[in-house]
Amino acid sequence: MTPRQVVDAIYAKAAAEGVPPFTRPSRRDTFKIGDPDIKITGIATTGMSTFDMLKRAVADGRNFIITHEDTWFRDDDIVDFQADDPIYLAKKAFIEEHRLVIWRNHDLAHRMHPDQLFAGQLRLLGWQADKDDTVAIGRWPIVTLPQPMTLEALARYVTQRTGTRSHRITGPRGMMVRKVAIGVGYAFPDFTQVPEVDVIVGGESAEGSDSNLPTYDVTAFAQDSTLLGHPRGVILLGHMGTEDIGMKLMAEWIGSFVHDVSIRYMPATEPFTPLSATQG
Amino acid sequence: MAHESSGKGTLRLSRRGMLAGSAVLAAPLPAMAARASLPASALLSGGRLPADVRAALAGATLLHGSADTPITGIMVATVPSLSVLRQAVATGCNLVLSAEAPLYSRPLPEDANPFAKAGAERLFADPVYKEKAAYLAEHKLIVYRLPTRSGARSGEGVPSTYSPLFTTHLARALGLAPMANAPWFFSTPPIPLGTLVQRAQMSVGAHGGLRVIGDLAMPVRKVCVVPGTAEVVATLTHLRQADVLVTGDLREWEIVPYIADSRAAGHPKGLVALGRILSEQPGTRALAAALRAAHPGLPVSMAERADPFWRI
Repeated sequence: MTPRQVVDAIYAKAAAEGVPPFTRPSRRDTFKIGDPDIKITGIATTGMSTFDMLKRAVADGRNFIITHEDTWFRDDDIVDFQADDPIYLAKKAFIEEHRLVIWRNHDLAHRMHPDQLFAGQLRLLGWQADKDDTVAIGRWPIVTLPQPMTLEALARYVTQRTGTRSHRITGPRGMMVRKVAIGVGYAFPDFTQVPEVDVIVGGESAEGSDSNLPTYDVTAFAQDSTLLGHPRGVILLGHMGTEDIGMKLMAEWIGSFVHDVSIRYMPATEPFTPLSATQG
Repeated sequence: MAHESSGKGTLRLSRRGMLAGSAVLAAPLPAMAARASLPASALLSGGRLPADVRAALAGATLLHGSADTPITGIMVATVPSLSVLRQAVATGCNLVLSAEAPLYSRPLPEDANPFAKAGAERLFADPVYKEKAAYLAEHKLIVYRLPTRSGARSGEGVPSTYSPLFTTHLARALGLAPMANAPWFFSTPPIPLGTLVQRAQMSVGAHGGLRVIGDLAMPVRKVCVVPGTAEVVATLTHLRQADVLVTGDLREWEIVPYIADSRAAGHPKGLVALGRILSEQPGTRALAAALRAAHPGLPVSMAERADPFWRI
């Protein structure tokens, strides 16, 4: 089988499952590098096709990479501005030497029912959304916790599930949390969309007030809300702390209809250097 | 709607504005009481301020209150949180000069799409928003926002659209020395990345919000300093020439993977992401000091902000 045949099979299966077709071709979900007509030795899915992840895929004998995020350091994967950059050139040379093919599956994964990234994160956190019809624009998975707990206990629970070390938390440690809303990657609910939740457990969100409405600074908002007697908190688990895992579901889904080649999830994992508790 | 249009209250560094400001301050020194009754526009543009401070204040935007109100005191802040606004009122300051906006976002443009409008209406109806907006109005606070970012991917070829004063003071807080003809680069005698991280903690106060990439033992000589939120393309282009990027905030699927890949590529680079707000604070603090020096007799306070994030 070839990468192109796998991608064709993915789109055919998605259409058969009722995933709404793109009204215009996705600019993100394209082949980034490599020959789409080469014979696949194995498929690896990942949250991000980092250099380290590519090396692990090669060591595992896999030449077709299905990545959720970009390969060339910016969302649009445009490389002309760095055509002579040594880091870009080293990564490109490695990909060419090992005849890797990289295809991005971002927009499709988010259009599926359920959105594979939210479904993956809920599974990772060991929770079920109160309603299963969530994750349309303006609707977010809300989880009523099995039992109320403090923000500190919640933070300990979720970071043990995700294994992240570079998460960031705002809010009073002792505030009681009954309901949370889930975000993944940069898809981050705001408190006006989910006014009933105490805490948002998401990936990342821009700090500061340069956002264009309807996006705003949720950290500053949560602090003011807390000062006004309505405690609110935010747990930022990072992009790979929330979107890597969805590509495990993607591997399972593709494996359910692509039988001729081996497929495996190979997480990118968070990129940051762990700092000790005293350092952090 | 509490936001005013962003254009009409903008301080301009035009020739005329500079001359007008100079004219005010070139006049015989007024008595203290008279000086304290100046409006914000005069206080923030006067010729007594150093050039880098005037440049950093030029284009400050009036978000709330009236430009003509006599100023009783200035509260300078990175984030004009409700706590900061209360502090301003309690200490008799009616002018808040801040790096960020009080109401959490940019003003809603008139031609906003229905999705943005619906979200904005939700926010404007939110009790937290309404209470803060009412507080601003009730106390007739005047809020000027420092010019920071003109918009994502501005394409101006600079990693940060912040005034150079912010870059200079952030670098200084980290013990880095300026380099000739290279406004974004700063040098240090070789230090391990871990030392730079410690300075970020001790001097900038970054703790729970600190994100670092790189071996803490890696040597650092040349640092690209980008206060605020790093511009993707320009930062990537400049970063090629530096060992480490020090910035405030960035999006973890842009720039971050470049630095993360640098080690596997054999050209290891480091990242010290302080948090946007903390990266703004040394420059904001310098503005407060300059305003205090330029306007003796007028209360000028700096509202220090601790890292909003913690970590377990």
